[in-house]
Amino acid sequence: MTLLKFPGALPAIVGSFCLASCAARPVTPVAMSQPGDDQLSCPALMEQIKANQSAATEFLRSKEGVDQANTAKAVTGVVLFGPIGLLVMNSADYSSEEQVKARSLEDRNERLTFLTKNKGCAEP
Amino acid sequence: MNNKSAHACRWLVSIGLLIALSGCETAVDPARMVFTTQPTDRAFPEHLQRAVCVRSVTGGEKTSLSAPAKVADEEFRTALMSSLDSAGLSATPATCHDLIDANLLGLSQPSWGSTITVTSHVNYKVYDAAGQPVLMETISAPFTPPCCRPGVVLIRMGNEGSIRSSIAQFLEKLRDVKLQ
Repeated sequence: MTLLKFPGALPAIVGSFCLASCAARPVTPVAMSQPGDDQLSCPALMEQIKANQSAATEFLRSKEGVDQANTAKAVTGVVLFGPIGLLVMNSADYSSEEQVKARSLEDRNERLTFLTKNKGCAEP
Repeated sequence: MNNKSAHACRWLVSIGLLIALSGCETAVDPARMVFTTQPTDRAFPEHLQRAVCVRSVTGGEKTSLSAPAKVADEEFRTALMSSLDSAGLSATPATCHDLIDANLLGLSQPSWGSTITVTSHVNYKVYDAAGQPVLMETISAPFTPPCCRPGVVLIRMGNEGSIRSSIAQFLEKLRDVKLQ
């Protein structure tokens, strides 16, 4: 009964459960070790390392934007409060896609760099 | 209760609900992330038994107010070491032969809700005494906790279950590691 005295609280609870089945965006990291790695030539390894570095930098840049947007949505959600506030908060992106991809590319490069050393490739 | 205090109370209740339902501020319990090996499980290669140490755990984040609950490096390390202990793989620092580096790439979490799936993405790197890679595995482990609990509990349970599942999959990969 107490809840009925707080009009903001009941819609907040109902809203939260209506929006409940939202799942995070599916994220697939770049595998550190991939089939055929051992067959890669030195130029192919170097090319992959360079491309991965660029992609990782781009993902890290995007991550900053997502983090800022999430913080803004969290603050706005609290300020607006009630169902609209919950809707705003629920639109935040906590999939960590950019972070997962950037970090997995960095680890992938660690693996590729190890292979270049094992193959005796010239330093890039 | 006068109008002003009723209004203030309404604000407090709503803000409290928003924070609670968004899953903030709920740290995981490392004990619930431990994967316990059963005596009936497939055996590990002999050369790994009592020969493995965790060298580094990176990528974790402490739980903060502004985002859903996370898993910190120390919490993940504790769970990983206990799981290795349970599997009979842990060595003392003096007898380490194989070293594990675990990099928590991230946790994919929904904003909040009553049925959620958390997926952890972890890179496990195992090196032998000579520094040669023995296993380089990227594991994504989804976990959906049972429904109908407050969001704050579901996110924590999702994190814990996902890390436990990730460790279980990693141990399964270790079972197939051959002596180099």
